[in-house]
Amino acid sequence: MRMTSTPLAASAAQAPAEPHVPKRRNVEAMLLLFALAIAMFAYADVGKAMTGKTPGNLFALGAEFGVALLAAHLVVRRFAPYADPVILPVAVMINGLGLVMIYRLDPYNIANKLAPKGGAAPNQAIYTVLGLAVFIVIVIFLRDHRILQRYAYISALVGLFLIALPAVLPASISEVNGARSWIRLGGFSVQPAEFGKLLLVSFFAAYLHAKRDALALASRRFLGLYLPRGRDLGPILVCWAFAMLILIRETDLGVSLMFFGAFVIMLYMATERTSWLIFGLLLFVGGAAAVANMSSHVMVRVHAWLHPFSDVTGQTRQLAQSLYAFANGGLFGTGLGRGYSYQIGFANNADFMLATVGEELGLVGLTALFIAYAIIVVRGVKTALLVRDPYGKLFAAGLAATFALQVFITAGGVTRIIPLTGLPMPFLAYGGSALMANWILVALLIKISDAARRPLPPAIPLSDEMTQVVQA
Amino acid sequence: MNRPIKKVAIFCLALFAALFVNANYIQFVNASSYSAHPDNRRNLIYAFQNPRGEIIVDGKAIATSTPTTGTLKYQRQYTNGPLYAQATGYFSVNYGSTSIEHYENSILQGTDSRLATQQFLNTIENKGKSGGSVVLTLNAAAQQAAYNGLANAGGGKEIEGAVVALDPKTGAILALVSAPSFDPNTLATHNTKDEAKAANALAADPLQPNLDRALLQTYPPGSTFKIITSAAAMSNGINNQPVDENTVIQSPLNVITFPDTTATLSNDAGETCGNTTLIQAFTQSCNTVYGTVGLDVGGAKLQAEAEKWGFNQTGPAVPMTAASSAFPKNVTFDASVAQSAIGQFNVRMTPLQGALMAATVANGGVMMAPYLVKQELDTKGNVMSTTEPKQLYNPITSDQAGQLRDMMVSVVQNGTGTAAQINGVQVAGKTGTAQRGAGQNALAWFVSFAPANDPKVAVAVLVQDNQPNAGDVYGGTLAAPIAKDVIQAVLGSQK
Repeated sequence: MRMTSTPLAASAAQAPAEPHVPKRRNVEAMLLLFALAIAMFAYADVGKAMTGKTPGNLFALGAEFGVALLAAHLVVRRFAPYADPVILPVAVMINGLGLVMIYRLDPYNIANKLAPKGGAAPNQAIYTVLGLAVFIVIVIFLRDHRILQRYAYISALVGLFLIALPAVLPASISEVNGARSWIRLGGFSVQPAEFGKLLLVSFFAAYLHAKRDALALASRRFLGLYLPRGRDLGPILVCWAFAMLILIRETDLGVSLMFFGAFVIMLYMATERTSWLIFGLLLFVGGAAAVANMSSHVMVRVHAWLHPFSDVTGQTRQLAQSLYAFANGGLFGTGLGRGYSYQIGFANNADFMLATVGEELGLVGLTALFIAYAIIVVRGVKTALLVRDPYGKLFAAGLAATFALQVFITAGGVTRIIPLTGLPMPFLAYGGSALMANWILVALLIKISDAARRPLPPAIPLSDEMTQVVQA
Repeated sequence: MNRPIKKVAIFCLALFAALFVNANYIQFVNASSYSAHPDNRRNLIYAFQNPRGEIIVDGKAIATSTPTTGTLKYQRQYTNGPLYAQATGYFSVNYGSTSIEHYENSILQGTDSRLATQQFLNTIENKGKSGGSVVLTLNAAAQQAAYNGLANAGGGKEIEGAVVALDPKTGAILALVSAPSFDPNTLATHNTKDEAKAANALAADPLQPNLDRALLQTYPPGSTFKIITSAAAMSNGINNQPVDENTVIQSPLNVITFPDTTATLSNDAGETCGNTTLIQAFTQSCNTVYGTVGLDVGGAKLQAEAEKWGFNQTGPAVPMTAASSAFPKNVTFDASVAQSAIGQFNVRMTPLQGALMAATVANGGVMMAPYLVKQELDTKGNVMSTTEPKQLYNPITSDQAGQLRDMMVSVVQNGTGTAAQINGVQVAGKTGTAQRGAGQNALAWFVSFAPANDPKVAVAVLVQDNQPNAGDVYGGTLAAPIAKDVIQAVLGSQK
């Protein structure tokens, strides 16, 4: 609508000036510099703590990442000038901190053959640059986020396929630490669910946008709740069955909870019916409890959650070690490079990355990290509130909520709010696929926020002449 | 659609709030219980992760931390390990820690709350933590003299013994030696096999080198106990008559017999003494006189006197808690009372108690609490605290102390303790030879102080001969020369 009207406005004789909306790109540039400085400072600190001197390549590396960030920034400046200025720098900061933490754990992981000979940090650095490249590509070539709406059903199919793939592959390819949520081929391992979650959120947004009226209005009142009609239960039951399948086949509580949670939250946002939330919660808790009783892997994790010190040399070892790490960090932490979180065993994987942050940066640093994650979520929600199209609203809010859920499920697992799952800590944990997927998420939020804050084209002045043009 | 989105936003923030609250719970509220879990290897790693503070004697570090290449980053190293083993103790990976290493751990490790600010600043500067240091009261020369004396007393053979030297005016411990000693370095190694080998060898050694005889083992005090028996007589009088050093005690000349038993109490080597002054009897260590004094004073009053000197009380903490010295309670049987009065029967004391007895006489009747830690230093070496001397007991008046001092001077001048004489210095002392049960070797004691007019050092020496024929084990010949060396070392180092 906007696009087609612009040429008309331009041709108008007395077109009013564009309303002034600050683009805030310079703010973003400063924040990016700040994020880079934090990561470089952390890197120097780790080097000093572990080897006694600042790493020799500190400024070379800083310059290289600086160039990559400059590229990303310039692309945003050119192709999404009204984008939210905070999301990108915060993501860069967490990504940088993750890189430093992986570098910090490398000596132990190399010695115990948990990382390649050269260490995991160089790989993660490459993934970071690749992630930024994917970010740039999306910001340049995704001209309008609403284009994705057209591919809703393909997204659903591919998303489901990606999430379900590890479940049908042989365990030798898909199983890592008891959870079958990976695809490992050759030296590469991919967590397809990370991409699947983005595609499914896009599908949910498109689907719920289309069906919201039916799901919201056609209902009976019962005990103060609007109960959905039986036939409207279809989608949620399908999603539930799918989530349970993931739980049973992949024994991955994290992916299952994130996937189903995202759907229920988006369903609520589309329909504004609390009954869906309650219904969804009951379904999941009931289903998960039933599965937990059948699956030994889930049962073990639930048991470890309830009694983290019952088998400290066996099945509860990781959680106990994680708690020791957090406890050791205390208020201010041991200082970067001075903790012992490597005793968890594979501390830079997935969720346990958080234990290193907790131990070395303390409660203060951990809180700062939570706030950084929360900023991304809040900025995503703000984008959803501002954006004008309902698909964009649901999509942005869905991405933000999924991100929040993932942070909660992972962080809650290692800090013993909920049973341990295998989800990676966004931007922080080692792994190319997760990093890539999260950079795509940031790119999408940047694009949607650009659309949200971009001023509407000036109204077309009504005049006879114009009217004639239209009529013609 | 904005209203539910706002609600979801609130829900998301509630999730973050839950994470935050829970992080407070595990990192602050529950942190200490997680940290204390025995499975948490951090305690062990931490113990060896940072340089531990030094233990210092006379300005020189006798225990230091040296960096290693292993997981445990610092190893404890003891300079002159066997010489100071009883004082330093050891700091081992798998066998815990003892003595100062154990009792001053919070300072040495740097976990003491007084060091918290400094550690916080160290962390901010990313320097890592380090420990504070502990300065001991020991006098290196006296310690060496005591160690050499015990090492040579066996004539090439390892013998058991102990030396404690105190500053009588403060209670500062100047020498603390137990023989045979051991090298704490063997237990401080990070090589688990070597460590276990050393620990097993120590445990199997019949001479128990890692037993601190000076503080933890009690022995019959023998004639050194006559100091307390004399004090009991002076405090209580005999037959309602006051007693001083010149009071003549009526007693058998060779042997005391008792009505209900075949046991007798005779003088050493069948000597004849008796019916003589207290000072004379003390100088010659006359058993018949002191047995009689004991009977005259009575078991209950003897016990009360001994308890004023610290017997039957909890041993002092130096900071290692010394064993409690014992005087038999409620003894009524005459033979036992008389035996107790000469430090036999069931009287037991630690070498520390022997030194405290001499120090009390030296210090005008006031027994100062013994202590081994002179100062605690922070991580930068500044003095954090200095031990203030304090009174432990005050069993006798200064007048009584003066008389006892005269009696002890007499022992060294013309009695059983002439071997402790030093040219130009008046030494006061008392010998003791404690007989023990059949098959057990006799013990030689010498408790002393010097100079008599202005005491700088009080020394107790205990030597246990390994020869069952105990005839030559006299406190005077075996123990007194060691005490003399220690006294000379202290006085020499103070010039």
